[in-house]
Amino acid sequence: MKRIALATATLLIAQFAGAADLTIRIDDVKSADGSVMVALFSSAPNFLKKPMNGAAVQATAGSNTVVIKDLPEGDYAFAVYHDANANGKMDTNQMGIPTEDYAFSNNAMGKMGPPTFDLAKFTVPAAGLTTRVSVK
Amino acid sequence: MDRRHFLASAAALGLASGNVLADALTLQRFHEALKHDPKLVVYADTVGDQAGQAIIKGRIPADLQGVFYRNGPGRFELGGERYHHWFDGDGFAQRWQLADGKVSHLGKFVQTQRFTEESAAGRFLYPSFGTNPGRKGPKNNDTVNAANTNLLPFNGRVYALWEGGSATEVDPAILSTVGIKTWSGEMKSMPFSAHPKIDPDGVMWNFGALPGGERLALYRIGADGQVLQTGVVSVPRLAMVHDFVVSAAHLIFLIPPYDMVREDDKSFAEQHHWAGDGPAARPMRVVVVSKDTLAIRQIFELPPHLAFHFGNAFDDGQTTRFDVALHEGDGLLHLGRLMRGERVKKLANRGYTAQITLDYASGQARVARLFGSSEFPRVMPQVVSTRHRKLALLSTSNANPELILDSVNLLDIDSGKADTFRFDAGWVAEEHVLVPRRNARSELDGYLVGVAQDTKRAQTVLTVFDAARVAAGPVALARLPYRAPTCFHGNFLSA
Repeated sequence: MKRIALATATLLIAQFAGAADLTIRIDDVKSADGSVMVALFSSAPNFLKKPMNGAAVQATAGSNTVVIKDLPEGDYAFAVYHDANANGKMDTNQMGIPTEDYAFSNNAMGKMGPPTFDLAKFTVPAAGLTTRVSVK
Repeated sequence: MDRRHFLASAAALGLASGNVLADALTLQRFHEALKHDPKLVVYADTVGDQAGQAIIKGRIPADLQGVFYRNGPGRFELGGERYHHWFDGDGFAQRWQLADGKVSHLGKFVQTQRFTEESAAGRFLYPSFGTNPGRKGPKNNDTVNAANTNLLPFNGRVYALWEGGSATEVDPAILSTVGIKTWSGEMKSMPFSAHPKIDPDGVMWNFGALPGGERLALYRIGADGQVLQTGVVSVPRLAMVHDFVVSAAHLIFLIPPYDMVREDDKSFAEQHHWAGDGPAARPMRVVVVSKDTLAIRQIFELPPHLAFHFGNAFDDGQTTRFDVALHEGDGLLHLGRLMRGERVKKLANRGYTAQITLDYASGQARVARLFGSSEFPRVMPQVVSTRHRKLALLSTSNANPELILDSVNLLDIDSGKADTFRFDAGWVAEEHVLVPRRNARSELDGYLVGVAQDTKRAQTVLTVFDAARVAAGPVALARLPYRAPTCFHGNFLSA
């Protein structure tokens, strides 16, 4: 009985504390200037407002990989952009049009502007997930 | 990511979702109508590139040598569907080379991102002016750049122009696509109108506007392609601003009274709601910007009209005068019907070309009628921004029961007299441009060069008139053995 309880507890810990890694491969980055920035969201109300996690890597021309570790399994969506001029923000021109390359998970786009959380949503299982997007 | 800002700009671009789909029904209707009305061929789809030699009737003048660069929408159909609006088609760049009395033609689709992706997909994906296939959301305005409105030789290069996004550079000789032109970092993905004006000193003025936005961006680019100055002025409730006009000291814009109402199930064209009728009719605004400060000098009001194209402007003491082709009421939707093969009714009061005088002291704008319903006004390049006397215009002759541009006119703006040539029945005229002789002594010292479609034979013909004797008929016609897509605008680059 004690052994079963321990085993159950171990399983529960594995499930809830989790050690799921999310590996994001970001393709078509134009240059090695600046950084590739990722913001991760875990719910529709917070989508594009309040990231629950984030990561940045020095940009490499072509393919870039960002790993976000130890995520509880569940539904997520992310936004990624290439901060080529390393000013820490997604630049827009005087008309408000984005001038740095970007993408959302699933390569989702809304019919006008950013997608909804549902369109960009994917599930990270306990075993972790590798996904890829293109910022082209 | 600033979602609010992004949404605002996307809304301004009309990147709306919905059921305004390119569809098989539009395609069916057009092709049915085309069987009964061969003149609709000017709105027909084109597949593939073109190259050929023209057969010449008459004689190309020995001193008329160079390349006539032109552009217009060529692809309207894909995957069994047809666009809903003439402005939607993909840019088909054309060059007519006039050398030693011979004329050769080349036409190629501009390889925009949209054209390339949709060709590979075998169907329309992205929203355009009057159609929204709703299959793919664009990342920015240049994702849906159609590069379909004008072809501009400038500083040894050639640009295919749209208005909602960047210029697209093409090779001057073979028209292969070089790519999106970013004049400077701050001009990346900015709207760049298809109607830049080149001052006599070679400096280019242009602007960018997004309907539904509140900002007009202004650009001054040196003859060497370097950006000399940019600016932004605030103009509330912008609708489609397609063209502008420049005098020695001013940039002048007309803002037609449209309300932009975002409706996700409507196309961009349909989000323009005409606000120029009824008791609450709004005026057409005239926004005058000073060239030296890039600030608004004065705003005038005129009775509600729609305007696409201007002739020229000049300052005269405390006034500025300019000519413009005015249209009555909501002209944007009428153009859409052509895609279904429906003809627009010819009405006597559809519009007229006017000379407008802005009186800075009194704040009054006066409208004088120059010519009846007409379009595609052009002047000699050497008079841009200074006093001009001649204006080239296309019109529909009184005898024609249909609203088809069948006549080319050279109008004297002081006397009101027009030197007019009417093409034969079945011909449809396109924009004609004025080309000066070297060291021209007057605005009549040169040629009027254009294109017309012979719809009976489905062939496209380049036309050359002596600017001083238009009514005498063309001195030369250069006929292609095929039909080239109808163009909106072009420019002649003398050799």
